Amino acid sequence: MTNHPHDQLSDYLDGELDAGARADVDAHLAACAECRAVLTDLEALRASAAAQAQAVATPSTDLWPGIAARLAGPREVAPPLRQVADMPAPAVAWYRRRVSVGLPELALAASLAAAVGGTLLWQRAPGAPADPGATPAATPIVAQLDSLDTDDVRVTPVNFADAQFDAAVTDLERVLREQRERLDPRTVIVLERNLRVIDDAIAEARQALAADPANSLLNAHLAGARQRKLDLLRRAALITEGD
Amino acid sequence: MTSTPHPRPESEADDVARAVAGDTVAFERLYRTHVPRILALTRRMAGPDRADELTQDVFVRAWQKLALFRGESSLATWLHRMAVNVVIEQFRTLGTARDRFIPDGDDVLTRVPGPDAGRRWQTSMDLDTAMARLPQGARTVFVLHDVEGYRHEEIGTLLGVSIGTSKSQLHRARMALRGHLTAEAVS
Repeated sequence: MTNHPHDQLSDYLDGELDAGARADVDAHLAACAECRAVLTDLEALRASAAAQAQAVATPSTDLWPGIAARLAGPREVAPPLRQVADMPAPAVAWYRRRVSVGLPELALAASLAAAVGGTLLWQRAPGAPADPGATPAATPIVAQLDSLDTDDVRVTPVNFADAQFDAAVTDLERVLREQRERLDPRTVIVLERNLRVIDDAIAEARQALAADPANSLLNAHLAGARQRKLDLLRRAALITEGD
Repeated sequence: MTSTPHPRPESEADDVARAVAGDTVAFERLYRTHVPRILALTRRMAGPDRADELTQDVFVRAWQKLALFRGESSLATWLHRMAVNVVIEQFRTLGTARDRFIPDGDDVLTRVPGPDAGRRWQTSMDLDTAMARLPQGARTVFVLHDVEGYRHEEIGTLLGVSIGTSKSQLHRARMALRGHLTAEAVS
């Protein structure tokens, strides 16, 4: 038999042929032992290749020293966080799906915020006083800048006056206390550990500022630590309300 | 492979968080966990001569971009995708004729067995060796499709080639591998 459809056998094997072409190849295979043998080989080859995906390799020499020597350069940071309290409902829903946060996401939160520094732009709705009775759903949501249509996002500056910050933290901590059982225990461990780190940073900054109130660097450090705490609390609260 | 320098933390996510914050010891633990798979991938795609250096490039880039990892996929998947991109970027950077996808080493690719090719290869080592003989373009498509499970659409996007080119390269690679493997089986 001549005109073997060798060049179609891969597509045939992968189900990439349309119905007509597939029927033609089927008819040929029924009568051609050579092409059946080729197809059998290709099938075995594909199976062998798929098994390779789980293969591992051991470096002939330790590659880590060469990597470690190159870690001093600049690193990318997470995109800045923005308030999306006024974003359209579809965008909010999309964001909620995107941040169906598990342990890895939450574990990253504090460190991400640390890397971002003062980029969190969270704030209560303008003019709205802290409301201890506010439900989680009424709380503003933070989202990643790159995950949103920024034309639809109204960004407002942060006011980190002590009273407002303390009220917001109190509010969020209450939500987390009430909803704690909805979090994975591992998540709670990471959350509490990161909160302790941030609280320590806030305490240190406040102590230093007591001795040097006009120090702009210390003030910025305190503001950054507060931002990180708010960010972490907000992410955790979002998890509890996101089911 | 050496042992980790510190006891393992309670989770990989914890190490990710620490590494994002600048903890290189935590990042080394992540490296030692994932390097066997990443090295295997770079060897398959680029061959043993360049695999070590590419693997180092992958982890350096992972360190630089770790803050962007959001846990939407596993870290293994994230690193895997990054490794594929690093390797392909190097192919582009090298820009040699060897790395072009058409016509791509016909002297190797046309080694197709005759109708009596009923012998079968036995080991994955055979396949590794045979893959190493493929021209870069055909090998890349074969590895991405048949080993790593990428679709032709994805391969086309990654490599900047058409879906048709990806399909034809895959078929040529398969036929060449069949030729190598069956020839080796009878030699």
